[in-house]
Amino acid sequence: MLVLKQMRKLVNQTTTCFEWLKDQPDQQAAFLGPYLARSLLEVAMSAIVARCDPFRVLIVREIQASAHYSAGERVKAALQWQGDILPPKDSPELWSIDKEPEKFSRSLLGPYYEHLYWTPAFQRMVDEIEIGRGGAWLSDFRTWGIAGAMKRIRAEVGKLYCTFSKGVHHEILLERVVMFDRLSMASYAADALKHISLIALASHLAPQVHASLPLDAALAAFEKTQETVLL
Amino acid sequence: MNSLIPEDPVSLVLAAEDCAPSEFEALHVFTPADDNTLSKLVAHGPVLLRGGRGTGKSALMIEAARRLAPESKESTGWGVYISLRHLELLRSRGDAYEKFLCSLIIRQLEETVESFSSEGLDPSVPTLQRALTGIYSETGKRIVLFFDDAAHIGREASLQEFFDIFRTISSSVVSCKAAIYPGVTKFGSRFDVYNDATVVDVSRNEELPGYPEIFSSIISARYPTVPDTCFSGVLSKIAIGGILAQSVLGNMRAFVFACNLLFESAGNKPIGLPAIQQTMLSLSSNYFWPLLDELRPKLGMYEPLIEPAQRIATVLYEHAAQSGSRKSVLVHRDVVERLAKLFEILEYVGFISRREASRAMKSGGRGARYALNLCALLEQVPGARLTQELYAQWASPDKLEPVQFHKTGSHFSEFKLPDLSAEKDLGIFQLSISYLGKSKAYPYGLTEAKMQILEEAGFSTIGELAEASDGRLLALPSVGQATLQRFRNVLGQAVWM
Repeated sequence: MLVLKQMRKLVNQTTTCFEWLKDQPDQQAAFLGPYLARSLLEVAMSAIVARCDPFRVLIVREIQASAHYSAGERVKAALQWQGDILPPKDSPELWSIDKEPEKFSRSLLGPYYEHLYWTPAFQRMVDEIEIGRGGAWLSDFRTWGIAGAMKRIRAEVGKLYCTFSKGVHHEILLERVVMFDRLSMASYAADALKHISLIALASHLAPQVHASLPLDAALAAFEKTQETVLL
Repeated sequence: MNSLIPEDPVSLVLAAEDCAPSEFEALHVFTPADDNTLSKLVAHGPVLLRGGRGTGKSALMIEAARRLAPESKESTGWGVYISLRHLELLRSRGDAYEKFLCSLIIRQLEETVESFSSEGLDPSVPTLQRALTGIYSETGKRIVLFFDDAAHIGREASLQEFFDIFRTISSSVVSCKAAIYPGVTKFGSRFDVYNDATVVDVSRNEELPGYPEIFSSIISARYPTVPDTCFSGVLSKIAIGGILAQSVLGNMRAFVFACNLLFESAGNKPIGLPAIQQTMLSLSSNYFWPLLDELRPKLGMYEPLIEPAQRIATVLYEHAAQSGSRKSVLVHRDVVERLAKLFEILEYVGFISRREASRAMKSGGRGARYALNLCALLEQVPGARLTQELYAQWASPDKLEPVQFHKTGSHFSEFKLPDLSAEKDLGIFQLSISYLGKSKAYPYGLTEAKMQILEEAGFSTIGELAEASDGRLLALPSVGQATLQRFRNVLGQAVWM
């Protein structure tokens, strides 16, 4: 629970920074927006990883608490976007008997989670949540189809992360205020929150996931997030 | 009575792309939900804007372009709106298609970006890419290209070329946005819909809170002189906006058409259920069913699908009416998959609107849930009467289960699709120009006087008129710029979707 509390704190800090950023001049908003947006994606998805696969984050916590840990050295077991969140690449044959256990990717948005967790949770989302609840985000999700939903979320989240990274790594030599202007950043941030929220809502309908909320509470949080974004 | 219901009501029904720029702002209202779509259109990044006929795709694209430079001078981007209603794009492939599309884009860039000159540029993708980068370097603004009518259901051959170019010219300073229809499914082998673009569906869903209020505000904005007495009866403005919008599945063009009919017949009297009933029945027989006939010659190889689509619509509506007039249906996914094109055609013309792609069915398996057009449903209700009870049922959130159509034993299990021949030219070009006259199928059609001018000049088919140059048409007696524009608009509506 300590890990989750820490992650919750990080999510709150990031969203507070976003609020602050709205009132800053264009140059600062374009400079800091991608950092914050990428942080939000990373920390929110990591929090869901922690609830889906506590073992994974507890290992990281223990490494960080150990005497061997040094902030100046790379930790091979640290959470990685490519691997822990997005799958390294699509595995054509999911259930091959020749596959080594470590080859079964545990990426949050990968094909195994999709099959075992998300597809059943998405079905519950559309079948059990009353029509009209969940606002425009859930209404839109209902039109995607269960089979294609994760492919779509994976593609959108991957594109958003890639876009934000371009603002973090300084590889873009174009004017930041053009590439990450307010109009674009607002749209990107809304999209990021939408996809995070959809996965988060589904996570409360997957029985394997820890620290789940009752559906009503999860749905209310989903709707509240959406109202904030669409204001 | 109402300054926004003109003597020729046709001008309100015409599509946004035919609207004069000076009138655009006064005639278009954007809701908070539309603002969400608009933010995606003005933002950087490729977008496919998907929606049926009259859902407001063009209006959204034009408005998005207006929110960028040069209209919005402070903007960090240029908004370049490009209508792809050109015969050459329907008839060409390969290099010829690329050349024509690039020349269109370059021409529009020249009109939008004052400092840009196309002199000496050959219309090709590499040249266009250099030109776009040059505009960014010189002006410091990114470029957003809005491609309207990008994909024609009846002419799929050129789609691969279009989406290849869409993908190739998209860059860190260029975003492409294209309007497509639900029936457009062929994007070519090099274009991955979800990885190469974000798909945004234009749909106004009656199941979301605030729906009647949105349409009531549209009535207020578009019909400011309709007297308050009209809304002083049993139905408030919000209630009228809600039921009319729901009747046409939130389709903006049909909603305007419905309002025109209703307010013209209401005069100063309070609007009650009989007036709503009359409007709905009139829309069904004079607008929605004729739309299928209008669509037929535009479908190319899919022309033979119109009859089965009509049969499917009839089955859906008859069955829903017999089952307590329920306003949505759930069709097993195998049926939807097998008859996909028919459902796409019905969705395109506004008979149905997909609300869910996958929902559990009582019989097992999953199906797609569609909301039904209440105008067509009312026709099938015994007596075709909009009673108090029926109004209360339709105006409230749907508590009834959708009518279910199962995989086997349902009305669709024996349904056979006709054979479709290979790609063929659009039938619309062979039709007589008399087809363009004002009628139920073409409420925006040409007047008899204008038809006579064309016939006397020797035009016999729509294809001939479409191929005529501006110069040839302007040389006709009594044809000035306004009439020329009218010819082009009507042709655009007739040939494109």
